[in-house]
Amino acid sequence: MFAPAKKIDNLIAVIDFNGKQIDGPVDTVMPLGNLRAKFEAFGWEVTDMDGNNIPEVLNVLNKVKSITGQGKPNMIIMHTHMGYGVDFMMDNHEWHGVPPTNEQAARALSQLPETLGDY
Amino acid sequence: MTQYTNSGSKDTRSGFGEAMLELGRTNPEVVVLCADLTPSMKLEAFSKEFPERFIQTGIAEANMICIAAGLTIGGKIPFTGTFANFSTGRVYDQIRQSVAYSDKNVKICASHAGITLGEDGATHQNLEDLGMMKMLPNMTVINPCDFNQTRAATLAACNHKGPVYLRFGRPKVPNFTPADQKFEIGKALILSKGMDVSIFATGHLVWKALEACRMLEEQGISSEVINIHTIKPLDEEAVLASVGKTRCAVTCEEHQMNGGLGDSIAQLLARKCPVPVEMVAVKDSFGESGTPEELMKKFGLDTADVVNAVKAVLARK
Repeated sequence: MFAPAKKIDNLIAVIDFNGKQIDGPVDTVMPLGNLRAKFEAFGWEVTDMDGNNIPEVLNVLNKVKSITGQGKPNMIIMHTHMGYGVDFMMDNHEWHGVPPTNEQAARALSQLPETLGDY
Repeated sequence: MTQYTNSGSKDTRSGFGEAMLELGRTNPEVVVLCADLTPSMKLEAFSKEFPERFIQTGIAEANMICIAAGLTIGGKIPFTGTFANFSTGRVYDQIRQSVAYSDKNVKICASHAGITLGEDGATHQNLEDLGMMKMLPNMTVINPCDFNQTRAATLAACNHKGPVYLRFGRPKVPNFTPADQKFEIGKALILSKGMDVSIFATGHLVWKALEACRMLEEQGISSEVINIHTIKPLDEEAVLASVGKTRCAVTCEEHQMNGGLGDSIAQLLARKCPVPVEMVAVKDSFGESGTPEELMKKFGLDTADVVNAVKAVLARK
């Protein structure tokens, strides 16, 4: 409400929208409805993107950067999967506040090629 | 001293969850509201058995408090459930206006209070809640010490007419009070009689105070341990009777020194019976991430700290 009212158009905000919260899926606990329409109603320019696709993330960030300065703040709704790429974590809300054990962490990292060798 | 035995460590929040299930079965007016923390608050059993009396509000605590206040108008007895952090500071205006000032029969039930929340760290470790809540007129503030007492306090809060703030915690701690105890709001409990010093403790520090009492006894110091489970109204009569005998006091709590139990007792004693007081409490700092045991030691809330406070107060007597 503040950002559109003051025409803060050099602002890019990102929502990590994985659809999960502690008690379960957001649609079960307290549905958000049409998030895009809600931000648009408040006067934001909204762009959706797949947050687990890194080339798309880079592409969309650059694209949104190119449309700043046009009188509106920019919102990116970044659709993601929580625990992406880890078979026993992906899309499972029970991992919201649970640290993995050392053994679980090793299993998880071994499934993610981009993290191999990082630890 | 009177001996106490740990019948098996349990978390106080589970005492709350067990009492809520019992209240669901015995009192049809009881309604539970929860802001996206059902398993953490041990409310799963209630939510499954009484889905029509369980309201999931999502992460919208201010809304939850206001809905609870509204439910009381039709005679319901609403219990709100979230962490101490989100039960107090985040919703202080709603509690002040719609619950305390309006004198509504809402029970604000707050888990994960204090530094024993542990690994989640400073953002979630509320150490100011007792102070914020005790300052509100009409508000009763309760901080039980173990599983059995939390269960009994929850049942008592339901029978009490008026706003209640009920504080409990996350970790498993010694369970040593009787399972069948009657909980009398505002009535301090003398756990062990003594002559040299009065130790007033609340919440998780009660067990530490009993441990300290045992160590002090071996050193020839006789301490009186009093469980102040109700921060407000404070049992002034019990405090003054004990201090009238011992002529010095140590207070123990998992809370900031500013605004906590020590603050209430020091204020009372300054007015009615000025004697030396030492306080075991968090000294104007935020918490941090760690195990409950590590943090209790680091923030000066361990048994040894109670012993040292007793020695310090005796030296000033």
